[in-house]
Amino acid sequence: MAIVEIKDLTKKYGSLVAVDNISLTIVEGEIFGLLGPNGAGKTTLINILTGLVKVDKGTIKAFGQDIGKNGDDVKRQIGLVPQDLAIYEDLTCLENVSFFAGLYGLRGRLVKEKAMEALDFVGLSEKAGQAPKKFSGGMKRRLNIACALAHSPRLIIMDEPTVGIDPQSRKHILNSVKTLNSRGCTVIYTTHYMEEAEDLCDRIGIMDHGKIIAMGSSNELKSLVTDQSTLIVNLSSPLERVNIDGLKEIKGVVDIWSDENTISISSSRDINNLDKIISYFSSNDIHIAGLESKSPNLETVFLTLTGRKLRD
Amino acid sequence: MNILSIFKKECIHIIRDIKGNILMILFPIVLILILGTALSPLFDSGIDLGYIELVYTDEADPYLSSAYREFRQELSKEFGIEFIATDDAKEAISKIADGGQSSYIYLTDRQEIRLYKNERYAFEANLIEAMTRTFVEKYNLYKELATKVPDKLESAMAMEIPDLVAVKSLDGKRNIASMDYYAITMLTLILLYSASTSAHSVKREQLLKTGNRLLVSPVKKYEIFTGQVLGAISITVLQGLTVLAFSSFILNAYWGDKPHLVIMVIISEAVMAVSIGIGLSYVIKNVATLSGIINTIIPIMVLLGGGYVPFEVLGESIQKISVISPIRWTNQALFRLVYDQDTSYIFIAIAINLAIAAIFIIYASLAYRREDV
Ligand SMILES: Nc1ncnc2c1ncn2[C@@H]1O[C@H](COP(=O)(O)OP(=O)(O)O)[C@@H](O)[C@H]1O
Ligand SMILES: [Mg+2]
Repeated sequence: MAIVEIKDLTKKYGSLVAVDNISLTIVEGEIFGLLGPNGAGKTTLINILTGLVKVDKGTIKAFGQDIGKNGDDVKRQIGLVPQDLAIYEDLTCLENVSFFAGLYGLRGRLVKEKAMEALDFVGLSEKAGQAPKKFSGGMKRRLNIACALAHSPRLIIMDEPTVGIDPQSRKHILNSVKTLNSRGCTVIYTTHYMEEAEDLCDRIGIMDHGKIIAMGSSNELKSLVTDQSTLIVNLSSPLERVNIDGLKEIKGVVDIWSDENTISISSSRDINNLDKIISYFSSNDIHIAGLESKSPNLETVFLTLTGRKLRD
Repeated sequence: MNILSIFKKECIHIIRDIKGNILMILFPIVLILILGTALSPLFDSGIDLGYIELVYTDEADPYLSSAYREFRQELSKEFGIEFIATDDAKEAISKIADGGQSSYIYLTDRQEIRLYKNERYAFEANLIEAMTRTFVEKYNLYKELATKVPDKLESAMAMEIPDLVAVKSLDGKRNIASMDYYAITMLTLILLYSASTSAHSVKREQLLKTGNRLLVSPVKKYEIFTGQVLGAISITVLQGLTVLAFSSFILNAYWGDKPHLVIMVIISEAVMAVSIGIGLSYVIKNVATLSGIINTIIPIMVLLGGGYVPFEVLGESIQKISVISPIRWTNQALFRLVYDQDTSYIFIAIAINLAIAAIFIIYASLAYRREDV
């Protein structure tokens, strides 16, 4: 079921087109990633989705209703983790989460219960009584997430929730996203880290200059730019002994390069010829010291589509 | 319900702001103490007036003349004023004119009492004028009694000299000691600084981006706005009441016998100050500029409102432009209420405060409603 339907969405800031005619459907239960460099328009798109920014053109439906009309019904089912930390430094963690939970209609004992649950979920339950003033960046980020969770939203929108934090907190956050999703939450996740998108997302929209330039699962995206994968073979014996021409006859092999004692063999992705390649080396009495299979990553995809790197 | 949540949170912010509370509670108390004692000579009703010389000419008939002699004796005894008789009225008057003397009293042979004074010696001259007035009133009473009920004459002349010396006693009502004066003006001064607190409440949500979180939650903008405004007003009033209570019970400042009216004025001023702060925070985007402007406007308004030194000391031209300071009306209302039991200015002050508040609040709510991220 479509949980969000975006049609022909455009938002301009003066002459700058921050969101350029985007159409997009988010399906219930998926983790949808928006991957793109800084300034691509991810946050603008999120802000439009949550009603913070007015659109110039286009329609958005969430939970089957036009955003803007029946606003509160829709809002209650969404949890937003904003890109910029949005927590009160002079309120304790529990007060922060409880306050926002209260705004979503939670009352009485339930507020504290749900707030503690959310804090526990992000690993901050022991800090519940402390104010985040002196927290590390990672802890603040986690509190920032907890504030969006206590009201049990069906759709969670996370805008670059892992920017500038330590690896441990990052791992914690990525795992929490997976857990939330396994509990039935739909997640929209924006990032400029391709590893995160690849690791986390069922589908990814690659964004650049306000446009979604490609969309699909990580594998689908990769196959967009290349239908080949590369096998890198490290040899223990000198290279001169290898008859490269023989390798070329193996089914699927497209290209071969070599230098010193490594050979890179590029093959068609839909043909599995790994066993044949290995047996070619052993039958020719050549020792393999190491094997590395290199498939294109989302960085390659972005590079191919835009001619630029994701992170400059 | 949402309003209540936001209200509560707003109160917590302000209560936990240590610097803000020092400014709003500790600062005024210290100021009342310091100004109340350091500037007390401006107000003091103590007897020690220093050396005062008063030149007079007495050409009056024996009745007035003897009454005046008695009056002189009493003043010399009570206040140590030195009376110097002269026959040359002309010379005495010219001495006053070129500032050699503060006052000169001329009892003419037509039974008039003329007082010449030089404003350079405002305090001394006013003092002598006040005393002379009292004498005239007393003498008139004495004359009246002499013709109508001669047997009461003795007791009338034996009336005590009223306490003339304090500034306000010119109006013949209760004296204002400097502690009393600064209790009122410092409280009304500090309440203005809640403009800064409330401007901060608005900027906090913008700076911390928590404003966005509020906006994506199912809360109406008017609920956010109302909660913020009410929170800021409530805590400001509480802070004001704390200062009021402290000045009244610990410093023994006099607040009159109608505390409910005092509190009403305080509330209206808090409402005004908070509204100005919130209004300005939508006019001026930059936080530093905003604080700068608020912190410049307030002392000017307070100075014009007679907050630092008494109105009487300021001079006429400043008194005239002081009408533009809303705080002037508030101060005046409180002085009239506390010292003259005159409540008529209370409602003017409240009306002015609330009208100003309305302008800023309406502006702010419109600006907030329009606001895009
Ligand atoms: N309020 C705004 N006014 C003007 N330009 C803006 C505003 N918000 C964003 N932009 C511009 O729109 C573009 C997209 O920004 P943003 O959505 O924040 O990108 P991302 O989140 O992908 O980094 C950027 O060029 C940014 O400078
Ligand atoms: Mg962004």
